Amino acid sequence: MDPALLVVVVVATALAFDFTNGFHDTANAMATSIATGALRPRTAVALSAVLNLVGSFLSVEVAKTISGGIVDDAKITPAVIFGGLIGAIIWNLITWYVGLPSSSSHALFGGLIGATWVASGIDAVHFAKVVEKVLVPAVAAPIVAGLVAAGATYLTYRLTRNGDTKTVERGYKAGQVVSASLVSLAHGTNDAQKTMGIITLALIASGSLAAGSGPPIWVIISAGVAIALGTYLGGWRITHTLGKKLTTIEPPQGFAAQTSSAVVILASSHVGFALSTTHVCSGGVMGSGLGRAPRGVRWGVFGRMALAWLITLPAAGAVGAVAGMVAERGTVGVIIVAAVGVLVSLGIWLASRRRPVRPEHVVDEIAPQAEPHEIKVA
Amino acid sequence: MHVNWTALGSVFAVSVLVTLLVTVLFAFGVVAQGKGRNVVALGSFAVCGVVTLLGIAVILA
Repeated sequence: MDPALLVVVVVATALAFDFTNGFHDTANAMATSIATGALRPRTAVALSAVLNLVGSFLSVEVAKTISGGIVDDAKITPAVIFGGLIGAIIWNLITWYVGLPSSSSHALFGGLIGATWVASGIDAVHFAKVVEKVLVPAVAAPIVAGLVAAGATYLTYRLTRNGDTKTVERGYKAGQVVSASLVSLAHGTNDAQKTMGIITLALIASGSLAAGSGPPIWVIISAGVAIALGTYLGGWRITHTLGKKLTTIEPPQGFAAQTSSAVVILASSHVGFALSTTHVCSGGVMGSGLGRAPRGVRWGVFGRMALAWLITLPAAGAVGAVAGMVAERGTVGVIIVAAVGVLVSLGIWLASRRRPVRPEHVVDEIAPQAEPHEIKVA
Repeated sequence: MHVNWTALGSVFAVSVLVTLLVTVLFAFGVVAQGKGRNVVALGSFAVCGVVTLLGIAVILA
């Protein structure tokens, strides 16, 4: 296959992944705001989309981590990156279909590492960097977000226990609009950059960019637009899980969870940690549940989610490894991988149409909770 | 295997400091508003906003 054409295919696939990342992660920023009735679903996703786009222009540290750190850019080819992307997209769609807030980022890293390992050998993967920039933040970030959210929630309920119930409810709903916006902005600074990093890596691998280069402006714009479009379409299945199933959320909890998540993501973006915003936001929601009433947390749902977190990296890695190996065989290999990717994606989408989850479904279940009610301190 | 403990520690410290500061200030504002103390409420919300913007500016600098 013409190398230039292959790069175009990789860029298009990376943007498709970015799009799935957007609708997979809509819930991160907006689930708690929708769950508490602070924002209407359509308003929430529109606001989140715009702020994701803005956030994608604010930093390039994470993009540099991906394009210049995780795998050896001298030992991989655009075909290998293509295989890794297909692995990530398939895993993202499967977890979206079952409504699991797993990490799009880990799906991407898993796919890329698996494809590189099989196609270019174990030396082509910088495991020390993977541990430092991906695995350690992956474990630490949700714990930090959870602890901080638990402390913030506990303090919030203690400080507002003598306040006027209706004013507190109204005040925190307004506050949630701001805190949810911050999470969307933070999401743009971290997740949009992962696609920028992958496209930059493909351009370096094909010789179009010098090693160590940052993402060109057209890459930043296209990645920002793709994640914003995906976010606007909204992943209602995962919003349903994160906003309703994990723990019942009240506005003060949503505010605490979102504030802690936004700060953790922004601080991590600053130091180049390519963490999972999904893990951080889920950790924040869990923490806010623990800070208010530990018995209110649905540990069964959390256990299911944690299992998905654990298997995301190896599962996407396995799919990426197979896809990378086939794609490396030339034009026929790339066409086979593309065809399988399209067929599997189409199959999952068709299956999702049989049991659709729409914004109105989420709102119907939320409505009774949206009315002001007594806030109890744990 | 290298773990950048300084970066991890700074993320943790910034997260604790900024989140708790913002949530406490916001809580004071909401309670003050409920009691009709609008000046105190506005002051709390304003400081809360400044801390948030300052935090974003420092983090993204």
